[in-house]
Amino acid sequence: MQEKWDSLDKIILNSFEECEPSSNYNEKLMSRLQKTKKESMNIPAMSLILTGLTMIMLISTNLQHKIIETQYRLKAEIMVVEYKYNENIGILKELIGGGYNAKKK
Amino acid sequence: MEEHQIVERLKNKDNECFIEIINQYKRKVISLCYAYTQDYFEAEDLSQEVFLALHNNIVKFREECSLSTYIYKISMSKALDYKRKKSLKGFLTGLFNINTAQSECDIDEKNYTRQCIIKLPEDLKRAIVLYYYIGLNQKEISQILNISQKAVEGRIYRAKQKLRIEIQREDVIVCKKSGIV
Repeated sequence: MQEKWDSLDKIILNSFEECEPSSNYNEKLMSRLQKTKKESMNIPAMSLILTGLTMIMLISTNLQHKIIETQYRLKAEIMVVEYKYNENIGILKELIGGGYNAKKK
Repeated sequence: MEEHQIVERLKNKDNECFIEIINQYKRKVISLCYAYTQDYFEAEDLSQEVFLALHNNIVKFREECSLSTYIYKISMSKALDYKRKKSLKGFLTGLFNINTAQSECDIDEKNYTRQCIIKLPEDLKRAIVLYYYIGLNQKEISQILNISQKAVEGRIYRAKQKLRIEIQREDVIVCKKSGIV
């Protein structure tokens, strides 16, 4: 190993530029640290976990079938109501129509 | 305070101790980063990333090496990440013909030596930067780079050979320009 430094060593050493940190270096660093602490909750990871939980809930509770069942039940109810409404309207028309014809006569 | 105690305090997220460590190492870490970025503001930014990584990963530190070695290891890895990103950026700017290269005519000896060091192969450059700029000994460098002390010595020697040739070439060019030769 070389013991004494030669001229090249000195040239290399002289090429070194010591950097003076800015006056607010520590403050900037601490604020960045606070920011990273706030952002420590990994958003993509959390959304993945939530998606997984939702899927488990959907499958275990058979929720999608229940939603479809409710939808068809509602449709059936609507159809029944519509049918009854049309039936009543028909009766009313018959009644009113009969009265009108009697008046005419 | 012993190093083990400092590490324990850092692991317990003691901000006071963390600031002491920052104050102790920030100059050297910025200088190390500057050797790779060649831009003061980017070097400062990169050095802050080093300390953030230290703060976040200190729990994983098993004290197999000294704290300073650990900090310089993080610094080297961050500097290399920066270089990788920059080379990709350089490739893209090259595609669009954006020429940001500095004219070599106006640089003095100090800057010329720096440029020569930057152009060295990566393994030689790391050894030179840590040895001359950061002032670490060969044992510490061998721990940071995970190589033997002999290998460190060899790398420094080879880097010096390359630098000697480059500097001599520059001297010849300067002499030719000034009409001495």
